[in-house]
Amino acid sequence: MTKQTPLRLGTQILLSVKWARYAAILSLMNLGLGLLQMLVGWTSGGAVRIGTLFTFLASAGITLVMSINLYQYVKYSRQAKLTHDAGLMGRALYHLRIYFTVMGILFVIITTLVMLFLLLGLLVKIVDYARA
Amino acid sequence: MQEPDMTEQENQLWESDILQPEATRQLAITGRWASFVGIVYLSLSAIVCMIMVLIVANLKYILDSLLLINGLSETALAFMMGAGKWLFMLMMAISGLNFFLNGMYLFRFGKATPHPGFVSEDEDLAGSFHSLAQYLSLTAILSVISLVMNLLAVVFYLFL
Repeated sequence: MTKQTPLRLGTQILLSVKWARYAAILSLMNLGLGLLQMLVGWTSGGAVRIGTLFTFLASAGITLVMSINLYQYVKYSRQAKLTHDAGLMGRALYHLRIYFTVMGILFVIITTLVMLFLLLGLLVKIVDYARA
Repeated sequence: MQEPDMTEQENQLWESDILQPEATRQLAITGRWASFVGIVYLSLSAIVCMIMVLIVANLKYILDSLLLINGLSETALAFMMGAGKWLFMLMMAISGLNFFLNGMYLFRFGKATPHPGFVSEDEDLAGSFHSLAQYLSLTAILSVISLVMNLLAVVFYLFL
């Protein structure tokens, strides 16, 4: 059985930076395509317009904040690597922290809403049962 | 996963002072949020599996109810009981697997970051960043798939 080479911290950080760069760029590309879809939806007219615009603005705002912070993580990590400035690594991880904080808060909101709907559904069912 | 090329000397220099107290503090907070998101993802994958099993087990009952409410053609009914069922299971399995992988990578990333009662060694942190890289690679791959599907939808809408 061959012994597994231990993972190197610096190499793994750079690996995460490489993928973070791809993920950030692709998210921004998806956002651009979303804008195109919004414009297509806009031309279809009717009540759909407001819904399309609102959905796009909400998702665009979240995507922008997340992608920009992910890209800042990439930028500062690379600078930290080039200049051997540990302070820059702190800044890079600060942006990674914001990325995950935004994601976490979104998940808290979504989970709370789902729980509320479930509770509401359960209450309606109980009231129906009590009436019957 | 391919690792970026670095000379041994570069690696040692880079690793010697890479994570100072401020960076470690930021990483600890990041890890807590990542663990939380990971747990939500893992719960979602469990819920998706449960939904899949419950729907498949009660498919006949659900279709009968739909038949009463909306009315279904014979062709639609046959499709839902045959290929449609397997297509649905495949889609649910893919989304369940996606949630599970995202959750596992994020949880592993968060678990190895510094937190009360646990001081991360360099090797733990390397493993942690490896999981982060795996999570980000999955995100990038899913973004490519989403990009292609969105592009196809736009092309289909505009030209067909």
